[in-house]
Amino acid sequence: MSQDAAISVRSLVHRYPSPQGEVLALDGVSLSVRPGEFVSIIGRSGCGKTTLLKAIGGLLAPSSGDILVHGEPPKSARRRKQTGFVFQDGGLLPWRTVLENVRLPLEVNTGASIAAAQDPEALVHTVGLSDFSRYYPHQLSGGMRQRVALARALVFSPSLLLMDEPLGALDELTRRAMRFELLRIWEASRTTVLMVTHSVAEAVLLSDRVLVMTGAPGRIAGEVTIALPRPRPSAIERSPEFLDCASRVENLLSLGGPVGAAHR
Amino acid sequence: MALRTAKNPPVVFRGAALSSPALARRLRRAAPALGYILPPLVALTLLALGWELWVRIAGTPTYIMPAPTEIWARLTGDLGFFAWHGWVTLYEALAGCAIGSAVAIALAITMAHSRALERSIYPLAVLVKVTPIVAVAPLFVIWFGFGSWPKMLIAALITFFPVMVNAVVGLRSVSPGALDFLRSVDASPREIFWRLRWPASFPYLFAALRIVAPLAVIGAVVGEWFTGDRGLGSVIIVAHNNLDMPTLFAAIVTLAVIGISLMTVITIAERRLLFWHESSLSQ
Ligand SMILES: Nc1ncnc2c1ncn2[C@@H]1O[C@H](COP(=O)(O)OP(=O)(O)O)[C@@H](O)[C@H]1O
Ligand SMILES: [Mg+2]
Repeated sequence: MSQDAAISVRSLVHRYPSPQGEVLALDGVSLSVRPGEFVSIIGRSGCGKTTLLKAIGGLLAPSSGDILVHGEPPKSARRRKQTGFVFQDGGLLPWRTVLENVRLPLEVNTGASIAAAQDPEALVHTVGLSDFSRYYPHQLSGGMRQRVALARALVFSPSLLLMDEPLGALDELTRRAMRFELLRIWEASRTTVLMVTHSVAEAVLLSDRVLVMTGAPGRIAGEVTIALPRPRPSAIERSPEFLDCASRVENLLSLGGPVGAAHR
Repeated sequence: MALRTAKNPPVVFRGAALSSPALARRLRRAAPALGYILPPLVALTLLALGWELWVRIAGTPTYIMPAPTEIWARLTGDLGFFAWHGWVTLYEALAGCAIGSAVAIALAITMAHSRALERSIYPLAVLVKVTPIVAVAPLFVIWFGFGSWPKMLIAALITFFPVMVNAVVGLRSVSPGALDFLRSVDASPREIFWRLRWPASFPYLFAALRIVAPLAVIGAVVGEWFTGDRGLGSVIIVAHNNLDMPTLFAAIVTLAVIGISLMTVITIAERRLLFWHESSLSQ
């Protein structure tokens, strides 16, 4: 396991207890992410993506295996505010304004030693919501809400950003627009990102590398390196290189289909 | 907000020839509120009118059915009397409601944290719920004397179950993403409670409050039946024994006013506190 990797996971196994016996959610997952790299995980529902992300984020103690985030255990990286999270449903507090939601992490657990807290107002500006900072979540569109969740995740300037289907709850058109918005924000910060997604186009557009997962039990079926130049304009989606990457991801996904357990 | 006015167009005033635009604007703004108040008011007036006519034409004696004007005269002639007894009943109902809710919420908090506790407390709570309150009221009077305590406790008992059930559901009704996020920033269980679970339970607590506020008034009145010295319940019993129908009806009217006031206050508080919740958005 390399010490200078942003994330290094080795032989990760996780079993959930359940009334019908144990569920093997992850079975020997290994991966490594370099600092500054944008890596996507793609796979069907229930293949263990969220479990993997939570384990790397130190929100869940895996049954066995090793995880290091910047050379330290995930929980302590999280405690030192090195890990930021964006969840699928946003997880905003509906009774707080945009600005108050972004400020929330600063109000919680104030005893912790915080190295680099950003100005919430500046973050709201970064995600393009300056005019909406006093709005409540119910007054925003789904895409705007996810931008608030992103701003909130960036408050402590985390060196690792974990995103679990950040655009998953959005309609297709908003989703396409938000993809480029995400790309723009990330290209400005260049923090390490591990993102879970269901969309091949999204994964290819944003990532340096796409990991394809198969389920029951959760394994990594393969990976596709996306060697597209950055910054990536929206026209890139129609380039032959883009389509080639996308079809390679599709192939891995279909290989690891219903009979995926045989494929390794 | 725009939806709200669009849904309740100022039907009443449409077509009226209004010369001043300022007056027109004011009327249009007041119209939705009037739209709520006016129809029931008209219905009530018609009802009272019909009642009055019927009693007069049939010559029904007062000790069976007093005319609305007689009830009104009794009420306004001794407003201080009804206001004071009404205040006693309201105070007992509110205090009981507060006691019952406090106990219910405290239990709900422990139950929301532990399924085992929930399984042990819940059946007992159901037992409290299914016991008819009228049956235990005399018992409470024997145990707690003739002051305000037995009435407050009866009101508290009625309040307890609906509040507890809703509080348990409400405290658990948090969005998984919000919970995960608070955990991810190392929020303590206490912080998670105050910042997430507690406010998230408000819509459920308000729903419970709408149910229990009128019930608490019933509880207080029932308690007062058994200890006839003060409160509208005792006024009703005494008036009944004396066949003093105007007083009896005036007490009922006072109770109705208390009930409407309680609901109005709850509705206003709900609009202010739950502006973020779907139920208030769709109103
Ligand atoms: N808390 C839990 N208890 C039991 N089983 C779980 C739990 N969370 C997830 N699982 C199971 O683990 C598997 C992987 O879940 P998850 O990581 O959420 O998948 P994904 O995010 O890829 O949809 C699924 O089969 C799911 O049913
Ligand atoms: Mg998931």
